[in-house]
Amino acid sequence: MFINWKLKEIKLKIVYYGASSCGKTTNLEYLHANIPAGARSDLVSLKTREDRTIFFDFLEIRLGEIKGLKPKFSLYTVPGQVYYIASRKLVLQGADGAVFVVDSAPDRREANLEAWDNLHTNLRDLRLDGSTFPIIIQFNKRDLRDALPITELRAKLVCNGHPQIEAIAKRGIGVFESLRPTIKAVMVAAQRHL
Amino acid sequence: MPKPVILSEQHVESIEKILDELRAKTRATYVFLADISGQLIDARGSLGSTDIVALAALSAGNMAATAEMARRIGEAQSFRLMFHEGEKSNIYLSQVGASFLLAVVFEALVPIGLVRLFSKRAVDELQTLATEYEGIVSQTPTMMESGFSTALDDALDALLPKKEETHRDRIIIR
Repeated sequence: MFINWKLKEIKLKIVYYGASSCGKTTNLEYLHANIPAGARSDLVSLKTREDRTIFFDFLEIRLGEIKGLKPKFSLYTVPGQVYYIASRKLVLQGADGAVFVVDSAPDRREANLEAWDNLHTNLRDLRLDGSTFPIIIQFNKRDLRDALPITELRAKLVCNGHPQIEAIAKRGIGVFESLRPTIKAVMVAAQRHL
Repeated sequence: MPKPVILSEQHVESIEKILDELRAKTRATYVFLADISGQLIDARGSLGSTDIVALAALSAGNMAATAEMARRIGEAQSFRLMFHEGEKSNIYLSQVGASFLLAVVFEALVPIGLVRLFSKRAVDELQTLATEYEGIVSQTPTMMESGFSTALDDALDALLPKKEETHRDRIIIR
């Protein structure tokens, strides 16, 4: 969290976390395309030739003035592929909350778990408490014909207490719905720390 | 939540003064200060159409990646500075303590030595400020007024409108 008392700005960082190709960048692309230009920054994507995120994607969203304060939210994605694992921790640095994107495809069971465990390991390394750190879980790709049942996904991830949302990010379903509670959660946490 | 960075009005003014001076002395196009998590703190100069928020995030990413490079070649600390040379414009990045970075964006005509000299001076001044900063944080009053939460909901509804609830694909789990 960063506060500029002169400009009455409060800036918070939200990181989209998850296995490779689970839809993190798709979330940001949808937000970028559907939020008016005046309320957001450019979308920055650092991608490889194969269209995989190599370092991060970045988008800032501005909510305008609320009761004299100007909240701004920096949204980042981490690279999903395991060989870029070091940069996940760098991106997570300074984060105030996370959206954990779950791929509903049956063959991504292990990859989801690996990313979930890795998120918690990195939070621990950054001395953040995984049980109180705001995490919203997005079950993405619910339109897959063989999508795993939600009950199974929930059981595997031990999502205790974290809000959960179903999504089809490529069609924009569940994208705003995931961001809204995340913003609320990071603002509540921020208020506690002031 | 990581430790918040809260800058008082007085702090922001001191930062602005240091950045303005650096910009004037180096004849830079613009200068900016960001924290290593990528948050832009302040920018001074002619930004034109530059998306400075995105540039700050990229600079922090760049700094973080080179810190890892430093570690891997056996450096005990991260690199103190980075210089990127372009055809028309250059960017000179300096680390300010462990948590911040200072960037100078300048035209190719400006001698690099000038930028190096005055960047170092500005970094020293900013570091002194960062040391003083610790004492001021606790004086910051609680800033969220009552009714903030409702107003936030309204702003979120306006920016991220709720879709028609009829879509059969979407189910929100509580």
